[in-house]
Amino acid sequence: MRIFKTTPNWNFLGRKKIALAISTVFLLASLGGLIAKGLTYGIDFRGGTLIQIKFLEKPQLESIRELFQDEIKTAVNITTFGQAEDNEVIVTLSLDAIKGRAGQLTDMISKILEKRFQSFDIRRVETVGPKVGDQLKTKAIQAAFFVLIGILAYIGFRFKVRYGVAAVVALFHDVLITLGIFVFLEKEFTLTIVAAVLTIIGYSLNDTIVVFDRVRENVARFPKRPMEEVINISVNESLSRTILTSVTTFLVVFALYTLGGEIIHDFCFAMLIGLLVGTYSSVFVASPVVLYFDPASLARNKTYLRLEKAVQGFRSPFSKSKKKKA
Amino acid sequence: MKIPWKGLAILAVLVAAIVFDIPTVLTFMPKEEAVKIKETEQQFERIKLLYRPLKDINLTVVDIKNNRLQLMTEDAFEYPMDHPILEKILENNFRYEKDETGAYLYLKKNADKTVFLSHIADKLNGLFTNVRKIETVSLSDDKRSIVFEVSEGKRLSPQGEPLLTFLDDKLEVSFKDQEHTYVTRPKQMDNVISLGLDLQGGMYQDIGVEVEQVIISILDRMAEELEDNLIEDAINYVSVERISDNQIEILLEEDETFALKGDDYERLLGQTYETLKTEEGYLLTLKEDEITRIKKKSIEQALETIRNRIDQLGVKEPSIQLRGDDSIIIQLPGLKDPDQARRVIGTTAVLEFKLVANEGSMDNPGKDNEVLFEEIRDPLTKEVISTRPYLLEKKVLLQGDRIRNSRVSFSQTGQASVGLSLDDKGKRTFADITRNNTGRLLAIVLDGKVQSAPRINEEIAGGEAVITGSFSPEEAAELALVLRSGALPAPIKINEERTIGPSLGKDSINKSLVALCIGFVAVMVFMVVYYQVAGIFAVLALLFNLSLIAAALAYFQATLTLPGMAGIILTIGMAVDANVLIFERIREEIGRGSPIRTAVSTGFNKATITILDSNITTILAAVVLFQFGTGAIKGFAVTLSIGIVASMFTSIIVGRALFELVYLRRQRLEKISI
Repeated sequence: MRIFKTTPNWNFLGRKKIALAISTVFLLASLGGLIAKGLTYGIDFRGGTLIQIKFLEKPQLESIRELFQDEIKTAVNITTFGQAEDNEVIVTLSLDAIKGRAGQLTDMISKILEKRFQSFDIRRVETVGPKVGDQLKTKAIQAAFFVLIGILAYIGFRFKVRYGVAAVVALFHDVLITLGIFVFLEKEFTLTIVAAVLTIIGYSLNDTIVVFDRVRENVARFPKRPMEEVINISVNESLSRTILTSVTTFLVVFALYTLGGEIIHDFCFAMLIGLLVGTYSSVFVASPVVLYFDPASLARNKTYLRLEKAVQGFRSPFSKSKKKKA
Repeated sequence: MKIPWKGLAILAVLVAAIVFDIPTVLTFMPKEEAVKIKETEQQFERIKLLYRPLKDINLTVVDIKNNRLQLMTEDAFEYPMDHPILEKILENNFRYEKDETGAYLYLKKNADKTVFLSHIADKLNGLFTNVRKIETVSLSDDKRSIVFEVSEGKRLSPQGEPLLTFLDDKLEVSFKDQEHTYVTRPKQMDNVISLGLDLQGGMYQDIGVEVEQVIISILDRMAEELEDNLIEDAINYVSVERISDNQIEILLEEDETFALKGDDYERLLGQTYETLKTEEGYLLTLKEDEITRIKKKSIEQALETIRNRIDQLGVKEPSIQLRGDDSIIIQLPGLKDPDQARRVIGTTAVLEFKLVANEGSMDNPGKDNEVLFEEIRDPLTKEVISTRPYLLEKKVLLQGDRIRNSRVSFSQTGQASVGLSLDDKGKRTFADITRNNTGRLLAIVLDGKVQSAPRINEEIAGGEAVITGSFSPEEAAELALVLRSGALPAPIKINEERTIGPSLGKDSINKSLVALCIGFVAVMVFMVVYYQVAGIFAVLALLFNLSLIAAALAYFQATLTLPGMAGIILTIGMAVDANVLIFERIREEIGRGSPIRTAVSTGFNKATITILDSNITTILAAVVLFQFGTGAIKGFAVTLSIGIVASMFTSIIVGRALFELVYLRRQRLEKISI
């Protein structure tokens, strides 16, 4: 069985302008959302206490909110959790609310709930101090930074620097859009989502490199053909693999998303988005960027030429034509 | 040269099986009783050898002039040249010599500059004192643990030394059996894959120790002692004060010619302060390496105290570890009462006896007095309803470190209280206090709060004291526990805490297992339908991959957490990707008309490059994740890395071996099912 009877011959790069438009729209929207609205940080990052409670009957959020507000006297945030039939809620308390009560936390919550409810089960209590959140933010940024440096270095070593740049551009694209979707759906940004984002980086990279590997091979195979054609051939040749892998991975993550339980729900959601965006970006973002930085096409690029004219004596670090100077 | 792929592949499979699967299989099986007993017996012999020579050394005396330590020993003492515990303390900085005047450890010329004789002497003396407290070391009746008997009325220092130094990583001190018996237990090595707290329920805590407080109190005490000395020497000083978190300033009167010299001050300041003469007096700065040392010691002491306390809580397999240099990670699987654990871990438990002052007033306590409060709680809700102030003398007469044992006791009315027995020195001090202050009120202060202030009716010589208050029996038991296991060197703060109820853990593992199975089956079916026989190879490789991951997890004693499971699921995706890459290449080669054999070989070779490149970059990301992540994310990174390495191996080498075995052995090969 095969997806394509013969190797397809679609002109992916011919549609790079449409792709550019689509990506730009998404990127701008994501960036706008991130700047204007910002991520909804979970307690991992802002500190506080999270309590997951299961009730026998469908819980009335308003009455639980009132109950807590009366007892604790600070703002509490209450949301339902999981499927409706689970009857579970998440109560989030600020750090002030639990100050000095660490030793009685579970007890205190039980006592508050006992005033109105007969049976409930405190399933999870998580507390994060203020220092940890800041540390985590720094660490997450550091992690992202080192991942990118490592990738640039490795791809620069195995391929060429411009491939590395293209891969990193694609990664930024994927991560920004995933974060943007989190902003717009008002989903909480937690430590698990950081893990998901980093996995997306890994996955998207995997996809991009498979295509690049083909490009590298085909550049040697067809030295006379223009880069655009070579990249197109490569994308087409690895297309069946791209589809197959995406579909199988999607299958597994989707199974986990629907059946894996509420705790990893958001993780899987981020992964699903990342999978889609990552597959798209390896074809429609990474490849055009490589093409853009290709010395031959760079030499024909009007913007580039204008730039070169404007900045006298500017030399592209990618051009090999040092000899021509003489 | 033709590479013998077939042989190499089969060899590789075998090696992998030996390296990964056999230890797993072994650890899967319950270890035989005989093996366990033999191991314990060997340990016992080892400990006996280690402990005997140490018992012959009574004391280490510092001889600064000659740059050496004198060992006060029994006559027939033989220095154990390669004693691992001594070596650990002395490192390579000392050499042993014996002459008619005695036995000495000389500080070598090229010794580490940060080594101070007095520090080493402290360490050695701590060790010897503790060793001397041990009366016998014996094997338990069932030969599965080693029993340390400590002489009557003694207990080992809260640091657990030297027991912990004696035991190697096969044994650990499990509990204090009776008042003076310590029992070991074999470490849990026979666990297959331990489930993380998120999968079985329990508590995770990341706590920090406020070590800065320790340093500040050390400086404050030093300032007080210096002041006492100055008063004694009749020096005209203006003030002695701590002026920052590492400096003390001595201000002298203008015409005072005092010089900070002499044995008294040298002994007091040791080598731990930089002294600077200023116009008005002296500026003392605590040295940086001393600060580091104090911080390290404090956190280690906190770790041991917490370990002691948790051991008495009866949690099945607690894990208490240092992370970095300022936090302690506690994991208590299957914990039932999180509040109790929070209290037992978090109580600083500094117990002090102070007299209620006769002079001064609440508004103007005076220099030597202070006002502390007693919290009056509602007996039912436990909320503080009022506070009662006490005017106390600042001087601490007796501290909690003199407690030998503590237990719950009941008054005639049935009210629970905590009974304390003091050690010999504490007994004498307590007798002195009660004799000299009969008729006055003696306040018992716990962590800065007055518990009670009973009147001293007569001299108490037996070293027994009782803390009364409105305790429930459970609270009294908790207080007795924390007092028994010693005080924390400084208050702690909870950086992060996660408590998962057992029902949630069960739910999570069930759900993700179901998801895992369904995802896995879907992929397998897909592969077999799409690639037929080659698809079966891929499925076999995938199964082998899973068993490798399981084996590796068990081998490295990693804990399987929920994110870890996600990592495994992602690995399945990566493994399938590797197979897809290979098979697509082979198809392509066949499509170009290559003979089957060449097609398979070229397919593998070309795909291998791609797989390596893409997987190495993913591993790169996983390694960074491991470096910067905490708890949950680390688990994810670990399974992902293990999974990727395993998947490269299974898809490239095992996959190839399967092709070799099924197809390439045939004489005539015209068709291949792919």
